[in-house]
Amino acid sequence: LTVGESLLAFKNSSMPLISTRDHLPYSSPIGIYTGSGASHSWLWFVGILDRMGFYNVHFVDEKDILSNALEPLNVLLMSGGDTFAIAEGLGAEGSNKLRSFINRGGLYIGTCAGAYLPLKSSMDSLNQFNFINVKISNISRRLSEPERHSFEKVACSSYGCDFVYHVVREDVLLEMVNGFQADGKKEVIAPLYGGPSMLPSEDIKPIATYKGFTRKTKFLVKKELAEKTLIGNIAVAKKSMGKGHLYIFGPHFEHPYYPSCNLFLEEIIRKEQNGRPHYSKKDSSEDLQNRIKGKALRELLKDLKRELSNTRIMASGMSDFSVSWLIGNKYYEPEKISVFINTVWDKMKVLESMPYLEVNRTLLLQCVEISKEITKDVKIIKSEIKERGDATSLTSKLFLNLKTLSSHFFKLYFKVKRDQLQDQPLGE
Amino acid sequence: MEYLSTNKIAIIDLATSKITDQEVDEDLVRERIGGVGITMALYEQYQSEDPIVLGTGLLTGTLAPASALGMITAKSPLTGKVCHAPLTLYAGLELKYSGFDYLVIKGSSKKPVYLWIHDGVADISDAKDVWGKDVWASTDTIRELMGDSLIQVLAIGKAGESESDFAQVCINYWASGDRWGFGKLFGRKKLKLVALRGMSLLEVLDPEGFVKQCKELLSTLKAVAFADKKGIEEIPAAIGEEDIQKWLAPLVHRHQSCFNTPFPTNTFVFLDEDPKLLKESEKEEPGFLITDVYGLLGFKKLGLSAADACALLRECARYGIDAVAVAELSQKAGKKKPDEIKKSFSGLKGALENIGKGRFSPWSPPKPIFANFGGSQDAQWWERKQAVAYIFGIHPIFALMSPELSEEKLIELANLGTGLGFTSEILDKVIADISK
Repeated sequence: LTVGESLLAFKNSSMPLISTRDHLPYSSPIGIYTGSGASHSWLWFVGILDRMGFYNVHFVDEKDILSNALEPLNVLLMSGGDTFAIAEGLGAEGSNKLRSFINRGGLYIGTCAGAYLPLKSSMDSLNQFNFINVKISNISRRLSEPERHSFEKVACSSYGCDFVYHVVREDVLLEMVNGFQADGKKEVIAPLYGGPSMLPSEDIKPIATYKGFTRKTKFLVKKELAEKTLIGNIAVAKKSMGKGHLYIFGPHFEHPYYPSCNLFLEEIIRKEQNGRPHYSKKDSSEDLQNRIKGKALRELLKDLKRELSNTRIMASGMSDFSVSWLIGNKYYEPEKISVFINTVWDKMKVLESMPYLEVNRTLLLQCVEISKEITKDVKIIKSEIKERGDATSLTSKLFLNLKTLSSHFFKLYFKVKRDQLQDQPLGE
Repeated sequence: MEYLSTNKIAIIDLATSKITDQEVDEDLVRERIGGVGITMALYEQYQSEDPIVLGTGLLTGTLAPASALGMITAKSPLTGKVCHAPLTLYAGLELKYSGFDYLVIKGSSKKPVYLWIHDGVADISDAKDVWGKDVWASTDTIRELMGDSLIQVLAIGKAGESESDFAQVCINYWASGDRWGFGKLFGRKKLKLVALRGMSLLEVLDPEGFVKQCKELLSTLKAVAFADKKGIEEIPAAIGEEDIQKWLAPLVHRHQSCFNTPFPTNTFVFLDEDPKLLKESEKEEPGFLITDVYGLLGFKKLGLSAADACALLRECARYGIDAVAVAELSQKAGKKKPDEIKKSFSGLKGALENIGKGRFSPWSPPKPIFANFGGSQDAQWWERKQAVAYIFGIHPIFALMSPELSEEKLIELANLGTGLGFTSEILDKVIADISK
């Protein structure tokens, strides 16, 4: 399929963007960072990789990275969250691993917090990265005194004596520059949720600049200040480092409602993996005794489904609560619980519909146990919010469990998808 | 079954605690359409195991006007016949979205249990936290346990637990159209309640055509005879009973529709606070939702004030007993004081005269309401109107108000939704089959 045809398929149906034969047996090993500081937007990467047929997906946290988990990977996807927590989690050693990964030809794609991470900074933890020498326009030192006072806590993040501020949320209009196009277009709409606006620098090649706003843009400050901060500045940029590249995105190009942006990401991943094919052999490292199938598997899947359902039902009414929880430097709202659970839920249905299924028993059991814990905690949190108006003590644990459940589940899910591909005769 | 269906039936054996899921056979739908067409087929299939079948109509939970209806099909302890009770408010909707079109509950449990039906999962759970509690407390407890106030609860109270002939399966806190003593069947099976919640999606074959047709129907319905009317208090005068509007008016707080139903057939009265109170209520529950016109009329005929009648309706719902039976047997026994009537709930016995003669609950009035349907509107007409409503999942009282929601229109909607080629002949055959 051509890219155009792929997009049409994506828009008109839930079919994968590409035929399964297009990526057999070569599939670039792709890592998604799910460790400290990662919020929920990495789930969007899961969605587009699945739709695009990239099944060789691995979930890595800071411990994995320190244990050389980046070595077999061609691509690392670092999505939104708390940049400071990510930097702190990785530390100097993690930064070195990341640098080596890129230098030897790895592709780093960072959106939002993942875009801030490699930018030059003097702040503790962040100053261990400094892969890209670029300044951002959305920092308070560029504001007048009255402008500094126009921000509320949700629209900014502390940055030493300064703070990084956010002027709009939701849609922004971008202009693709330097010959880049997204889905064949020179202009594209993308969602911005606190990502950077970068000033021109010789260290980067601009890919897209902020051009304007749309009817769906939510202004957090006066429009004039939003324009001053964003318009004409760089939204997406590329930097080459050693044999590898970094692509950094202020807006979330991985957001599932923006297929043109998704296609641009797909093109980058495809292009950058050229010359580095990875033969995805049948994974025989797994203990065959630890596999589960048949009736026992169906029962266990039902147990997981039961708990996911219990949680999503409990969480369904929580979006009405006007609370948010500060975990690290990042605010989490109750509806994010549903984002995690519903993403797993949707893929759960895919697994259920597969007639021949075999998965890792331990991993699935862990998913069931974690999901039980999540159900219990969501119930307590909901009841505490009703009684006391807030509940913060359990939320860190809850979101950690949600991340663990999701990454365990998707590890299992992509393994099933890979196994299915490898069991198909070539050409089918 | 791909369209307008969750494609699942749960067969729940309370005796063994075994639950089996089945797919909804498309051929069965072609032949029996849905609703009571299929609950009857399932009843017959499992009749040796004394089943209670819960089901939804083919259009239940869709944009089709008044598509609120679910149903219970079982053998009535009162009539000895297989009968159908309506599940209105949001219970029919929630059953469909809980991931099952139908539930067959067979066998009896040794200990009290409840069913938690959610997102395509059916669970049998120990009812120790709710057994012995009244309907209101049971609903509160289960919603608290599951952490969601939108859960729809089909519960019995003490009447059902003690296997009273007049025990009713209530919906959340309110009376239902169960005039068949199905609450007794729940109690006999040691089934305290069925809790329903889900966030399934329904597929529609021709979404644009379906939505267009629904919108057109809704526009037509809004311009008809009931357009300037609302509430249960409008119904008695329209069916030749006494006008109760002035009697009830001082208590009326608001009117409430069942899911997607253009006429609000339910009226909420305030008993413990001024209904004209504009600020947020200070009482946990200051009133009661009247859902059964005959229960209200029954207590009025005893000479009770509206406040006493409504307070008794509330007590009936808490106890899980049919108010119509209570009113009729109180009349016969010459009991006219609220306290003595309430005391009679326990151990209430007697033969009812105003018992339903057909298979459909006499909760729906026996004649057209507000509307002119033309031609004869005898018992046979009523039975057919009810059958059609229970097959497609249309609110059975609203069906008596709306000639515009004709069999042809419902068949057309069903075909737009499923493409299964339903015809008047198929509908005739289903109605004939369920009437055998």
